[in-house]
Amino acid sequence: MKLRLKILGGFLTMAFMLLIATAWSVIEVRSFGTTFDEALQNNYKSIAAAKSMKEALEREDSALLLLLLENDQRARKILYVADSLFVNNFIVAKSNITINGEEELINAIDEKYSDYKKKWDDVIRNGIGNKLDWYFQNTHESFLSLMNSIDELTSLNDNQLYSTAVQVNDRSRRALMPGVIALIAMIVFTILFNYFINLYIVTPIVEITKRAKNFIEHRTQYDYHVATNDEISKLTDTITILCSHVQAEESDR
Amino acid sequence: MRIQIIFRYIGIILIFNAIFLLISAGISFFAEDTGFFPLLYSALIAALFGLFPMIFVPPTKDISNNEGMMIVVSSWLASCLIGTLPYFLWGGEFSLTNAWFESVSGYTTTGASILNDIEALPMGILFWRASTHWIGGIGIIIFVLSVLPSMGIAGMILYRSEMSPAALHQFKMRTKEAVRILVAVYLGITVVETIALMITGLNLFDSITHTFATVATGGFSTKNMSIASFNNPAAEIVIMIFMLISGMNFGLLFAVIIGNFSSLRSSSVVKYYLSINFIAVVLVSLNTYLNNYESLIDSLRYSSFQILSIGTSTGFANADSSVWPGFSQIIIILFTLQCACAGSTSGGIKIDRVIIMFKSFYKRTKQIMYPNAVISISMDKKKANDTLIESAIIYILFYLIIVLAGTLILSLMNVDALSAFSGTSAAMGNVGPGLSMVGSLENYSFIPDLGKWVLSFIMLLGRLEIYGLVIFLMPRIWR
Repeated sequence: MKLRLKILGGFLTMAFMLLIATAWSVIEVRSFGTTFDEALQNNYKSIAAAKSMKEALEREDSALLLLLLENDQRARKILYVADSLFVNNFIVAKSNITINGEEELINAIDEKYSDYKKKWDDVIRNGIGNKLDWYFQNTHESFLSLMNSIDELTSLNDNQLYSTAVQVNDRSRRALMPGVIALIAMIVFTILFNYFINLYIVTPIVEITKRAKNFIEHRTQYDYHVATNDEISKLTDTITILCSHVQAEESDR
Repeated sequence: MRIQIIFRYIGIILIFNAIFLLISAGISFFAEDTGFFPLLYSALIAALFGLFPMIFVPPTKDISNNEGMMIVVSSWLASCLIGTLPYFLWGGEFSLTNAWFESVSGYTTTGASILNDIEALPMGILFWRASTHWIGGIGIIIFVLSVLPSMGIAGMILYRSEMSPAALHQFKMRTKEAVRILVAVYLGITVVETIALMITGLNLFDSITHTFATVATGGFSTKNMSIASFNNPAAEIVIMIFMLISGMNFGLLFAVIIGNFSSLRSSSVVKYYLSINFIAVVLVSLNTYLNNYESLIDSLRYSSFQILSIGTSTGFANADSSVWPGFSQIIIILFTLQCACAGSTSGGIKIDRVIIMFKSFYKRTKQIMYPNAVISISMDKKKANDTLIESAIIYILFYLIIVLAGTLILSLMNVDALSAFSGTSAAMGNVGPGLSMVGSLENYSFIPDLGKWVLSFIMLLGRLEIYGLVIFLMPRIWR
């Protein structure tokens, strides 16, 4: 292989490694961003919706207590506003199903809320005899069960958010590591490159110069061979021929 | 010492590793898992580091014995280093120390893992993990010698440096022929076991990865509970048969394949190997039947698997031997130290040396009785010379000294005595699991980082049969 090619090959190897490291880092940083976005879009949205649903439910529960205190008008007003808040947030959560098991939970919440809403809606429309019994034996249980399902939804998304955070941490490490490894590899390559250049280019040139000088000054036999098949070996072969020509001419004289 | 020549040969080895890294990356690509980039990048780094010396260093077929020794040891170290990359780049449980430990454990076919959740690894990384066993099992140099064109004296020196001295005594043939036999037997066993495991119901991926770990007597599984997670007695029987086969001298196996059964029948090493395993299985089965299991079939199933797994230095598990009685555990420790035959993929002191030691003891006793008698030691009708006997006994002595030193170092790090001793013995013998905290269904994750580096060094000492690594570390050799 020619010297030019060898040196070019050495530099190209290093450049290629840097290129790959950079490309990988870019890909990892991009996917890092995507994962982060996904975490925000998918999980955080559901967590926020669940939080609002819980708030709406608590308001509905307070409104039912107002019903017990015969403050029907105010109770009705709060119930309708809270219901609208609940439904809006439920739609957000329903359109954002991203985790295994989330769909089942959403369906359960839907079913339980319909049941819960039917109970207080009936009372508002038709009235009821013993409101205290109705609240504690019937409605409150539905309320607690619904709250539990919403808590489960929050916890499911919380766990997913946590695992995404771990993933993000891993991805950030993966984005960083190719650069670090490339840096270490470059240092090792540079040392190796320097060693080979010194061994196969600099040392032979120094040796050729020394022996040629010895030949010129003292007519010492020029006898030097290199193992490589490149310009250096051609140079030393040419000098060998030159020296033998000079010696032959001198002996002819 | 011509360091540039060593670089060139390491380059060839790295390219060989890069091919397996690329295959693993391909698996990750098709499985669409997270192992793709770490494996691809590692493959490229390995290939570039491999090609770089080839640009400058011209090929040579003339290397000295010392250069050969350095090439072999450097190749192991370079492979372990490159093997660390995909783990470290992938992340998860792999810190730098853990990745190095896992890589060394893979190449040296130890099979000790730091992973708590193996099943969390992507398919490509799992395949790479199994591949390190397969590459390391027969020896990286042997593989490379088999695929490269004739390398003349260089090939012979590399072959002799790579092979266990105890095995060289058995392989009295030309280098190229010996390498051809080793690789042919290795590939043959691999193919047959893969098919057999698939017939028992394992999928292709599990069959290949577990075959790699069996024929290399490694022990890495793709499951957290090792072979126990399959709960497949047929697969266990197949693995047991192939563990037993892989623990035998490959030269003898080749003789059997070509129809020469007499060499197997007359081999004292094989006789000892089979009978000691049979006796141990019977004893441990009875012991565990009386203490752990309700049926004799169960105790036979678990005992035979565990004994063969440890006795061949494989390290697979289908039961937790840490809960077995002391008697069975002592037998496990003895097997961890001894392991199987020279010329196989197993580690440990090796049966050949144990037989030489016993015969030397017998010779010494006889010599005391008859001081003027000329008594010689022979193995399978071949006379063992004094150098072989001396080297075997010195090896056993230093082997035990290293195990004790390792135990002492681990104990200093507050690792309990049984875990420290069995863990060090398992690392030195390239067995994998020990007892107590490093038992058959446990892992090495709890060992402090420094302890993991010590154990990695011990694994390499065991795989390179002590002398190689010791000579490598001597500054004088590099002049």
